[in-house]
Amino acid sequence: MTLSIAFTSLKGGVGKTTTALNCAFAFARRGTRTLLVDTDPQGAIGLSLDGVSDRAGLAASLAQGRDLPEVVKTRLPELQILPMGFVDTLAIDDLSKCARDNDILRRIVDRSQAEYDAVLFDTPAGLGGMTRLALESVDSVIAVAQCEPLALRSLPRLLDLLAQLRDAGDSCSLLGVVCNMSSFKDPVILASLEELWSLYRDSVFDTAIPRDSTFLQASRAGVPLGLLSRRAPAVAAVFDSLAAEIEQRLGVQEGGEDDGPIRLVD
Amino acid sequence: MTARSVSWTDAASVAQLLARASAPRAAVQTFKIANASSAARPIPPPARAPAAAPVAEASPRAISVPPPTRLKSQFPAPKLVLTSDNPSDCVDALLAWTLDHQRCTGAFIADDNGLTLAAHGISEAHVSLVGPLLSALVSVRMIPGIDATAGALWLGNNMMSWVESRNERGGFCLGTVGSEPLSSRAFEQLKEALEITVRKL
Repeated sequence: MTLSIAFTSLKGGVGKTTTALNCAFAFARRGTRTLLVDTDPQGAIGLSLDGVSDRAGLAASLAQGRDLPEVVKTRLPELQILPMGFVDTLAIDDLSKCARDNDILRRIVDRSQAEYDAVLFDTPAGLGGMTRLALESVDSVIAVAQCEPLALRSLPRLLDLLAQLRDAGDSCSLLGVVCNMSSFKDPVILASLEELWSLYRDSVFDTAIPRDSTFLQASRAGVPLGLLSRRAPAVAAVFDSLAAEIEQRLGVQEGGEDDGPIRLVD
Repeated sequence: MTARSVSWTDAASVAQLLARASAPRAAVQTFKIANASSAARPIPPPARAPAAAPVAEASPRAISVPPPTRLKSQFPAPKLVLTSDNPSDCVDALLAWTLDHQRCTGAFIADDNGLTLAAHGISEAHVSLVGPLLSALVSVRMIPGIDATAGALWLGNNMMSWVESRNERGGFCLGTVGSEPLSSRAFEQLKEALEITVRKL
């Protein structure tokens, strides 16, 4: 069964797109056939990847009444992208209504069953519109929390929405909270991290994404971290770790539970 | 000026929201740490998920955080019933019973070396406190007339409580972590449940 995961946060600027994009890349590198769907009317994935921003995507498909948009193929055969494409600023409000009327995100999940192992949704900030639609369409939700006070304070709102959706019969559930832009140097960030761990306990992924200037370099180049250079920067490894944790939490990791050391020589 | 938390959020409401927003994990949520002295004890090494638990309620995989409206203290805790003689199952059942019937967000079972046999919902930092705390209690018990087999420690946002029981193999500790202190009755219940379990270890 295809995994469907939404990367979500009420607060903007916490790193949802960066996390979704690099996780999708990590999944694909692990051999998981992955579709990354941009549900952000701002086209955040398109703005993050060189060569995607000018592609037609979800928005054009909805505007023209076409069925499902064509995906963008990438250098990795296992990774394909469904961008948002250009959305007229005045039409942003209509986009989510049109998407809901067409049940477009759920149809993407349904159609993906044969072709993909995982569908990852990058969502816009906030909990309405496309975000809510994405939450109603997926099985799992990853809350992206920047390690700072405002992001922490807004996190319960996302949980509350998830709880209400589940009460209403939707299947989405919180898979975990991923700490973004973590650092042990700043006392406020450290206090936020400690409180996140204290409050959300084992819901928090062990993998925390560090605050690192390499992200800016990748953003400037318009590439995932793993393709910033032929020799991937060390920080790219955190997404391999996060992808492995996600698979483990979903119970899809090959080999099952960690059963200890493995002999080199049989 | 009083210090306020970074998140302006209380642990109890977050725990309730997490319970409502999360589905049971596919992966095992409890963890067990192999005991260095396990060769001398009938506690098997960390086990994989059993194919079928004989009694669902006794399995830690069946643990679910109770619905938010339920206050555990409003219900008398039933006596712990162990349906298996397997020490690992007994430890798991004790952990599940504790989480289900005591006002706590996490629980652990450790031996008197401070090695954790099972835990759920507590951080590694809490686990690492167990050894020094139990060692300290040994010194306290040297004072004549003092039976220090239970205790509690305020850890800022959390209260860690524990009880101890012994058999011929040594001492064992059952602890909880929660946002408030346990009642005397809860301590008695924990002690009784631990003693029932320790008889099978």
